[in-house]
Amino acid sequence: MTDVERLFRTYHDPLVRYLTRRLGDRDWAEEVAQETFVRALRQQELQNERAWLFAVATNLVRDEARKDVRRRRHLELLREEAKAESVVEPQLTDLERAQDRALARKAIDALTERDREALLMREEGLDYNEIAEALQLAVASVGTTLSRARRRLVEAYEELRKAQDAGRRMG
Amino acid sequence: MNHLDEGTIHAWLDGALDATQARDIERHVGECDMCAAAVAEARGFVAASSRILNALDDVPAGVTPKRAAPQALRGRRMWRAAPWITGIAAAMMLAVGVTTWNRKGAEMASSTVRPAADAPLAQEVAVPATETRATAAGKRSVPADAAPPAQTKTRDAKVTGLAGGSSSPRVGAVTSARVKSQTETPAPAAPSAMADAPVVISRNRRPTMQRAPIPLRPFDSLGFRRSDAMAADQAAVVSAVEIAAGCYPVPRTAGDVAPQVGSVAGAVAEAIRAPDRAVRRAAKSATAPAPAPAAAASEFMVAKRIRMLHLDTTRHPLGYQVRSVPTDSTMGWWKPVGIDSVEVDMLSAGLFRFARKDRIACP
Repeated sequence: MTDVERLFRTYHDPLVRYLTRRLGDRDWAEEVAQETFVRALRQQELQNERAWLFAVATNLVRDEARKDVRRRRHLELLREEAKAESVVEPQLTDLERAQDRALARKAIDALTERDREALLMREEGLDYNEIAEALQLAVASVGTTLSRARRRLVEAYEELRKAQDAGRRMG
Repeated sequence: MNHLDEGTIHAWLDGALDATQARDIERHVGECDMCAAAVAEARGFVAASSRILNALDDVPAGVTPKRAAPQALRGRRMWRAAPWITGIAAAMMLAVGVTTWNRKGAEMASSTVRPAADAPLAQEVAVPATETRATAAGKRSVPADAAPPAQTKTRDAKVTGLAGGSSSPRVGAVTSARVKSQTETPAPAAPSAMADAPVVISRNRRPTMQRAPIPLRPFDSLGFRRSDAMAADQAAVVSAVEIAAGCYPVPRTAGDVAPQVGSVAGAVAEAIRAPDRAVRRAAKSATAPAPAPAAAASEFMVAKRIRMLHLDTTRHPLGYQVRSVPTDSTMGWWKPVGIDSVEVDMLSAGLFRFARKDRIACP
């Protein structure tokens, strides 16, 4: 197995999942992951390959997101809502899952960029040193970042869920 | 020591602190109610945020894919299945340690519940004869896991008892239970406990990987409220929850066995987060059996302070409710993990993990 193959096999799946969660779009995530690996090929040597890959992928997302953040976000929300509504003969589990997903998407979008990235990286198993390296943070502040991110995510999710429940009761 | 800030608590729960810091924090949390509550809250946030993030995936992580043949888990969509498989395998290996001391503790604490403690085991063994044989064969091919080589003989004796008496499933069950008690009695206390745990766990792990006959579901791993109407797809979840529900003994305070519980629970949590790394670590620790569980068992026996928990089937946003047996107050929440383990998150005393066979009769 060549180095490239090894790199791809080891990190492709976690990277795509990280990006899918980050972007809410699997195809987009695949594209960004691909570009990340292309850039990795150009590198002579990678010191900490996992942190490097996640950092590059994160920067690619940021670059692209800056271009048309509003339009994309709007489209994302429209799509999530359309998904939730478009189930005509709803298999209830699918419907609920789609609603959960839309809520989770809104909740994660409520976080700051840094908090969101740190949390998603942690979920992919990156340790505090790797997260610090990928996000250019001090290692000592990763705990604080993660604690804030988790609290806000859960609180935002709970608020959204309550609002949704209240909306259902009203309607 | 000052009170802990939230960032430090999360760093501790994430295993990001060095051993000295972690020990200091562990000690402090054992003594300080305020910080213990903060830790419990942080655990809740860690678990809940993980569940929310899982909801972002098309298929939530932690779900067994319907076509779960290990050799088929290659290619582009592998990530959806692979982390679960490796995570559960690692978690089960690591759960052996917890199982061992806990079971020992239960035995020592109350000899009257002993027959009841074996009852679920006997039921579990009462499977069709073909399956029993397949399982026994599988068991022989399973590596020694965490059990020292000296225990091999005892395990073989049990395997023979299972295979030999399997002309009728019921006879097989009785025989195995009897053989089990015979082999346990003359053996020295700690080794018999060590030999006991891996057998049951490997029995369950092996068929899961080979045949995957049980439609495992996420056990509400998302932690969301679900409507009553979705019963059909959730039937498997409900039954798995009901199978695992019941009474389990735990140490009365986290301080009783904190170092061991902390490390094992931490490792299990790590296994869930980073399956690959944890599998490697588990493999490493399997080659060099750690004395920690035995030490914890003896400490536990001396302490003899256990509390009975009733794992209820009442839903809570973060799992199913755990109630104290004497007072019926809510103690935390629990969830089944895999087909054989239960994870109990106590609001005050931390995280415990048991195998289902640790369950004892509810008074």
